[in-house]
Amino acid sequence: MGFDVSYFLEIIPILLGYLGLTMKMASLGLVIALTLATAMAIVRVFKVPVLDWIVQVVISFFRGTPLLVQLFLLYYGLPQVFPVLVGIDAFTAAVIGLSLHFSAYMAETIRAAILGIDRSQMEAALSIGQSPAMAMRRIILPQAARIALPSLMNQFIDMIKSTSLAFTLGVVELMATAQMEASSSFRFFESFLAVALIYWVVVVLFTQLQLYLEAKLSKAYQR
Amino acid sequence: MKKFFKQVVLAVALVSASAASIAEETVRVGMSGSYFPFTFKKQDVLQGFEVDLWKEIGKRNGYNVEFVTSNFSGLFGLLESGRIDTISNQITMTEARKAKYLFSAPYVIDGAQVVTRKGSDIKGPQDLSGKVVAVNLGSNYESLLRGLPNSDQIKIKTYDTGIEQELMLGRIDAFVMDRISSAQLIKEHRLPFAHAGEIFEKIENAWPLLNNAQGKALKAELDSTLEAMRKDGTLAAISNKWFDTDITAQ
Amino acid sequence: MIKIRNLTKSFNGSAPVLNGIDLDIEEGEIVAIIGPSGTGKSTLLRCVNLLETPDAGSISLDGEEVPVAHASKEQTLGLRRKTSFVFQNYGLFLHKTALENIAEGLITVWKQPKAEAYKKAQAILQDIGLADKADSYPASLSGGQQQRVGIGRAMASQSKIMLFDEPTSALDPEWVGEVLQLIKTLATRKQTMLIVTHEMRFAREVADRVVFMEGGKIVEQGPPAQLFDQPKDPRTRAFLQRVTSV
Repeated sequence: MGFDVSYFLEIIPILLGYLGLTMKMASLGLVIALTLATAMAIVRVFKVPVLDWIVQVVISFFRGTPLLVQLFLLYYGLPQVFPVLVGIDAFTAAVIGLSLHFSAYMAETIRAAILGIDRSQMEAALSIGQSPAMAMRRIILPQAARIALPSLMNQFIDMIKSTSLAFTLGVVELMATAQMEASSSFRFFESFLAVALIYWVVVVLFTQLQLYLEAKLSKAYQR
Repeated sequence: MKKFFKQVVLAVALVSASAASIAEETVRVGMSGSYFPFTFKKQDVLQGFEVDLWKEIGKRNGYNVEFVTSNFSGLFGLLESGRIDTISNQITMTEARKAKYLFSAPYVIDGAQVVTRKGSDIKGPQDLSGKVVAVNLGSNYESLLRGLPNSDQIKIKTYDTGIEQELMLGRIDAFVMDRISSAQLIKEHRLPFAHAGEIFEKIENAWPLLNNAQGKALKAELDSTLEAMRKDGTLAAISNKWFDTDITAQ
Repeated sequence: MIKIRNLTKSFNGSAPVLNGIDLDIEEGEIVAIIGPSGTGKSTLLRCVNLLETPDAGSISLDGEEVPVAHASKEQTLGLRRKTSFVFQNYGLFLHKTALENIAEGLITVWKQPKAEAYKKAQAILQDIGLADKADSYPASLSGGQQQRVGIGRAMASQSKIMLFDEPTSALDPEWVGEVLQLIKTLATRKQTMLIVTHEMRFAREVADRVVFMEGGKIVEQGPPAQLFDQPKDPRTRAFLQRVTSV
């Protein structure tokens, strides 16, 4: 059949029309996941009674089961048990699913980063009269962020790519569009190459952002 | 200021009340959007046989038809969880499904068709022994294949998408799809494929509905509309537009 | 001003590191603690501002008695805000500049407006001779400079008592002098200080009173001249002989 260049060029703008939705899912997911992950990491670091145990189970579950299964459980399974949940739309469900799934990974990354900060930093903060919570926010987390950044960015990139699973819940995003267009044109290679390139460019841009942030955060550590 | 708010609240209440009274009944129809030529997207526009049918049904019954596209494997979940009212994606009335769902009268009569590359030595279902045969994930062709006498010698693979590509590349020896859409597919895109033998199971495709009061009411409306469309030739016309043949004939 | 009573601490049920310490320090007094390694000197210091939780005992600072084995959150914070601490390894906030290190407590703990806090911090930098290093991060400062910033940070909180945990023992010999000099300057201003140190000459020079600890107990204490020149206890004599002969 050969490579149909004009079809390839034609489909890119159509696909780009859905990039916004994909990025909206991923960025909302990132904000929620980071918030949850930080909270869970702090619970783990301080070994908060009972909560620590719950967080461990949550992390184990969301790391131990496939994202697709979690999305199905959330969107199709839970409403059968709790009918009120039918009200959640597909986009929201996808964002919640992505957030929960990736927060489990991010929580472990952030926890490791916090534990990687020398004890003396916390002690110094306490010694000037900061409360443990304030010390966490002002002294520990900003330093942990630098350590965690590369892993967190990896997880975010993974999250961007995982938004393609949302079509299973009926969210018509980037990958869904490529799939549906290809089903009528039978130009699978062109469609999927186009969608692959779009994901790739997005990821490259975020990798650049990562390098910039890394340089900025490591400024304090150069002699 | 308070007065202003009061007026706004009143206006909103009035508008929403009148909107509710004149609102059409919304029917949410799920489909994969990836099943040419029944439901597919071209230039970002959802279209196909199923879409045309529902536009006609909507017009006749005053429905506001809302199309919901999802991966095929998510469609029944959408139905089960009440997020769509029916699936319009050539859903076959199997015994298992009939036990669970209510079905409208069938609107497409078709059969399972073995499709191979041209010149293949597979001449029908009986020749599938020892071959790799593909079906779409979530479709009922897998259970049809398992019902064949030589089923234990057939290697069945399931795909989410791109089954034609796989046959073209030779990763599979054949696939099973309904006769109509495979014929359409071969013709439209000049694929080097051929039908192998006759259809080996007659299948009736219909719209599954939840087995509740709402589903029953919708079934009654759909069945009478379908009957009317059959009688006045609209159904055949829509079929001919997409297939050059009447796939709805009983 | 500060009264330490029956302070006791052991780690994981082993032999006590602190075994019923009683110690009083007057306002403006400079007390040096000396003694062999592993004898509980640092632990004593860390118990005073509750970086370690003692098993028993009480600390009164400015008349408020805190049962340190089960101090409330408020009491813990209160005690820490009335004391300041200089760490052996400086403990500077690595992601903050010298100026920010000193201003951090002023802004977050003492709720001073940022502009005012930075002005005060700049004045302290001037005082410790590092005005030109305001925007330097700890990683680019020498050990001596880092410890001076550490002392500057402790000075900023205007605490009742400054606690020094072997402030020069992590330093290269080259930098020891400037840090001791700064502490001496503080001494002339009658800043109350409790200093754990290995520098015997420094202790003799700067302290009003020297405390000798061994085995989790205070063995002997007194003015430097008396303790160094006429120690009463044989254990003190043995220790002093050892350290002065090295």
